Amino acid sequence: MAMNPAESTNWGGRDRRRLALQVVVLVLVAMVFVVGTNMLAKHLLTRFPWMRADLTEVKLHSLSDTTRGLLESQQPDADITVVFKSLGQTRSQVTAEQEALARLLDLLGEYRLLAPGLNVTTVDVDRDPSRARDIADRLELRELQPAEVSRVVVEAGGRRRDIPQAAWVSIDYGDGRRPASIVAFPAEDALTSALVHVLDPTPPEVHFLTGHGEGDPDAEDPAHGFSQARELLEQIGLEVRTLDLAARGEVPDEAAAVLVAGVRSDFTKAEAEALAAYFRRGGRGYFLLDPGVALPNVRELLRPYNLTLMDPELIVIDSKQHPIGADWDELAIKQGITGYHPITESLSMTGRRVHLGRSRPIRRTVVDTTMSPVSLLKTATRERDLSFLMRLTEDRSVRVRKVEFDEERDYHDGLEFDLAFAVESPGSEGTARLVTFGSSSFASNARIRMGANQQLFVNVANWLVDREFRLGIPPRTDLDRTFVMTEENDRKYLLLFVAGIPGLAALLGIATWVVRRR
Amino acid sequence: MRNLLTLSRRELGAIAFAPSSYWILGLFLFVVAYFFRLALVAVGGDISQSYRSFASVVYFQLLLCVVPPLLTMRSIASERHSGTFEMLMTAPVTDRQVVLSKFVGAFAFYAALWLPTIVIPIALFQFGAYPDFGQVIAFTIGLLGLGAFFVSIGIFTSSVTSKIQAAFFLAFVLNVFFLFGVAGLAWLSPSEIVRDWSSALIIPQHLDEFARGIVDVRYLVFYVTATGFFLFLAVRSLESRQWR
Repeated sequence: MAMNPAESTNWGGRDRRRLALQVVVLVLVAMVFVVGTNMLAKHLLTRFPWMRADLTEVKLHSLSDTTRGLLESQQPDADITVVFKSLGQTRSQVTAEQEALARLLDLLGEYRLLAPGLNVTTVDVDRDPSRARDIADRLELRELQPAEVSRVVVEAGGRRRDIPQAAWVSIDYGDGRRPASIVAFPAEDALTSALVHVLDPTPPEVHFLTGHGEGDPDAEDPAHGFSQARELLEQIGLEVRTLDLAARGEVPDEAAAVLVAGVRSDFTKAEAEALAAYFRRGGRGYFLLDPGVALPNVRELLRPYNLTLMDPELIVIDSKQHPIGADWDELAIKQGITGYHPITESLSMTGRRVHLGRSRPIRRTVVDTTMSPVSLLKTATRERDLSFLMRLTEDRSVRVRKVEFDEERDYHDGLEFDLAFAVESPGSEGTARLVTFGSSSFASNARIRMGANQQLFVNVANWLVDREFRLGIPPRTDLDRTFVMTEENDRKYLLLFVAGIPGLAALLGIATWVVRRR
Repeated sequence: MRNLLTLSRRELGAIAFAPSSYWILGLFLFVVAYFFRLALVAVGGDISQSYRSFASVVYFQLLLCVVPPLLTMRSIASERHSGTFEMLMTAPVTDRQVVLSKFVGAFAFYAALWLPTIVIPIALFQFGAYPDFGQVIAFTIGLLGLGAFFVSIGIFTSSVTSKIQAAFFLAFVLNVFFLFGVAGLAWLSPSEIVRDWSSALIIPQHLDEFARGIVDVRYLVFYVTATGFFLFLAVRSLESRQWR
């Protein structure tokens, strides 16, 4: 019950002092309560992740379970240095770069919330050149070209992993008419990989086979060079080696996986047997087998795993049976990422396509009923009115003029062909894993940065070396939320929001005023 | 509870039947729509980015500092100034009920100011764009949380003086301090611990997070406890007439 103000005059000086002291104490207690509650909330956040809810439609700011698991279980102490240098020439290019940097720093903020031991330093080379010089000296970045300077450097326990800008963001720099924009933002994948690498003192080894014209992991050649694939493997924390089976005679035990990238001649029987022995022990194989090369021994090697390589001629024909091309990319593998396997599960949700290049289909055959190869890629088409004719012979004469379907020789069965498979098989020392693609060009320097190729290539490598936990980090891509400010849209906006609704409120005010005056 | 409801209804009625409420609403909506359009243009029409850009503009942040004191400056100070305060105090209501009803009235009007702005993303959707409504909800939650905090500061300053202008000015200064000053103190502090703890109190950072679509319970805890603290101070301030 409130007291009549007149009563206040009845208080004596001593009572007043006592009451004032009481109020001061109460205020202090309230302050302690406020500070204590906030400290507790801050402390509890790391234990209860739901305390930080991401309400965006595509969960744009949520760390994957993989990253969360890594950070929570290992609580890593690591230094992360973000070195940023703008390459943009136009305002929209600089804006896109700045947005990418802001998103990266936001992401690192999310990492730090779960792992306070991560020490993040950011340096903008253009804005803070003297500090950038010091950091560049320490990180030995001084010799790099300007385009290579932007990178994230992750360091822990004397180990270091550099993430070049192209690995954490893909920016379309646009042209005169089209503004620059962020195409993909696989930063979480890159950062978590780098952390895994620096925290793991014995990284798994991937051996590129040599001796049969395979793609060279050191070659920069666009069509048959795999230097970028090598870089990617190193970025996810794998050691890359080469292996000449003819010279060595067997696959070494330390090989976590062997990679066959685009052989141009078949393996010898002895080499095929060495590989078969390795797989029987539980080895891992990554086969990228281009069409147009006869590979009977490789075919035999894969047969026990219920896989049969095909080497057909693909002809795209129109409704009048005229051949109009034979481009596998026209088959647009967009819907072709199956999503039936951990390798492709996250990729199939992104809607991005794989640029596979010319490829050979692979058929599932039943030799061993205990083995079930899972299709990773299927052909699909954007042009539903086209027909496809698969000619299963080496006869290339069909390219000229009229195509006639031959029931005996030709395969014309809808639009779906399998182009890659993953299969597991129990081995004497562990489970063997094989992934076979009908093409090596998707991982070549010319194509690996296209579409979903990079992610697919990396996912396969992670699956082969038992890093399934790394397969669930899709790139963070928001939907297109652009409101195109055409003259008409701008007029609508101004009329409705700047004039209409505020005007309505003002009119209501006038009406109220008039009513009150009456 | 009944007393609180009666008092709150009285406060809300006074707001609803005051022409100036609608004029403030109109002016507020005009300013918000205009600044949002500027933000939208600045980020090339990207609606998601425009919320962040909007939240980071100093004019918008100043608007957040100015509007709550405008709504609260009269709440208790004008009652004191006009002499109706003594009448109110003789009614069978407690100081706490008086303060809470003033807070409910002012906060309801503050929330009503923001309500029409939800029409913006809905209309943009009708125009063919695709706003992230989760982000809109998060941003609105943030604005309401911050609004509750600033309204409670206004109620407190209105309770310590009978001069309306003084109540406004004091509340505005406190709002500016919490919005900008705490961040400055955090950056200037040589102590890592102080920087770490005060970083949770940096309101522009809160706004940025809400504008990104993140609702962080820590920030809401801060707003709820800080609101409670200033309302507590306001109650103590009213009680102080008994011993001053």
